[in-house]
Amino acid sequence: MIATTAPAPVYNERVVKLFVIATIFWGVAAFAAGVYIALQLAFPMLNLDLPWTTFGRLRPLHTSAAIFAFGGNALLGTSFYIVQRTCRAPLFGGRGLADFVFWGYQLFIVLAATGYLLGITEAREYAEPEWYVDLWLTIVWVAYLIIFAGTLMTRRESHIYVANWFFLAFIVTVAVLHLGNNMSVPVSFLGTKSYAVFSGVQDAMLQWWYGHNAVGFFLTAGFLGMMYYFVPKQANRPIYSYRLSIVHFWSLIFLYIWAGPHHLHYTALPDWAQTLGMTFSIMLWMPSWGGMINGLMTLSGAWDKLRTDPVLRFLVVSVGFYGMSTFEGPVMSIRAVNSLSHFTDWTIGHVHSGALGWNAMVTFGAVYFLVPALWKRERMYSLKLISWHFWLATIGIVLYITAMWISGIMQGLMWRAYDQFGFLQYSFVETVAAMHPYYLIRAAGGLLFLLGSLILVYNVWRTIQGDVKQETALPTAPAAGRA
Amino acid sequence: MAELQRWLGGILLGLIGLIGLYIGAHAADGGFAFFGLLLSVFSILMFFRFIAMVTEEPHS
Repeated sequence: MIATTAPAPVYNERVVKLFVIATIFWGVAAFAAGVYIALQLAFPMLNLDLPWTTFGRLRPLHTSAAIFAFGGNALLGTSFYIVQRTCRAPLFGGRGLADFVFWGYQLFIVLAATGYLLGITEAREYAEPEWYVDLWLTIVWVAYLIIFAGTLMTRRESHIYVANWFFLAFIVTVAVLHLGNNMSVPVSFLGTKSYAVFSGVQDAMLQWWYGHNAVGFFLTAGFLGMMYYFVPKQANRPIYSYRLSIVHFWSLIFLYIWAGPHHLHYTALPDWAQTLGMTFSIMLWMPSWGGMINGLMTLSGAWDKLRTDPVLRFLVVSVGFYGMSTFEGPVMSIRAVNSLSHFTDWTIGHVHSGALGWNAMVTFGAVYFLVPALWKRERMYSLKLISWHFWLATIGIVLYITAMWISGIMQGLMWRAYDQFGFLQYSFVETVAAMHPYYLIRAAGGLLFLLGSLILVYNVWRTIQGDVKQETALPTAPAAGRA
Repeated sequence: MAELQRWLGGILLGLIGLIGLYIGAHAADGGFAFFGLLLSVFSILMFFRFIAMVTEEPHS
């Protein structure tokens, strides 16, 4: 593992290109599904009285499309891009195995999505696919691990860059979570239905051990790997503190795994376990903000680049949202706060400040970085369009999360309001009616976000075609234009 | 080693295809039959890709 001056090996960029295209495709699908179900909540007639188009079936379609299809393809693609370059080694296992992982992962997405529409579900949040889809994903995931770990083992750099540590933690932990949470017994080996091995509160605990760590390791650790590569590259600066990144890594993965019980406050789960989950969630502030500070401070002395580089804006704002949502999460895990926020739209707003503000924005930044680099173009077709996308997405997110904050807190307060005789002051339907205006604002925010992603599609398409738009208003940013 | 990889890849894809066809034919419900057929379509398409890859000219 001695660094040499030998020429760079031939990297597998074809599979990364495929993942980039899949990321964009599934992203648009996920955002469109989100807008549609947001409108369903405001106008229930959009359920169309068909079983396949009810909110109950489309909602997991939206969440899985956003997390596993959009986010998953982004993670797999960027991890393959980053591990090759930081290890100066081509992907282990050759092109065949990489292709298998790509197409196998798309098959998993199609199987999961079609299953939801047909009503095939384990009814476990963020792990809805039935046993046979879980088994297929396990095969694909093991192949992914073999490629990633094999590339690390055949590296030509002595050092393993911190982004790869985050990706490895993401791959290994998601595998463990997936196997643990999907312990179920099929009714028949030729049928879709299965039942979980555990029941009652044990099953709930296992589900939320999985559920919260899907956030922690899929939507956080993996995306931090992206951040640690693309922020320094786009800013053309070294990471602010490499030592902080290592401390951040180990403390994050140690603390996150314990935080799941905060989803089960005021349930049959033993009190000590609830308190444990809450305490570890609050401790998570430190590593989360350590990561945010490391990302933001990387721009020390280079903040002026934000004026001219819209790609960097995506990346920096994503880090800002990461800090904000990882501040809000621990607050909501406090039992007293959770008694108000749980089951309300506040949670939905919180999730979307992370998913849209952090995950999607850092992914957009990575896509804008990768497309010119992979297709060997001077820069993206239009920097102005990137700027339009940025503002549409940002305004969309702000509309979304503020609407859900107001709606959620109002909903929680209405649920717990008593009159002078000790009766509930509001019926459930009154709370639903009160939320209607906020549902409209949320749908409008989502629509703006979707529009922004369509601009991304157009910009990427023109870039791949080899077109470059001559623009004068926005100064050409060398950092954004480097192939 | 490369020869072994080719054989293994081909056998695995063939097995996936056969399992998919079996599931498609004997599934207890429509959803599972759909899964089987998708699995076999996946293996056939991957097989074509695999053949294209191993017969590729070195300079291309």
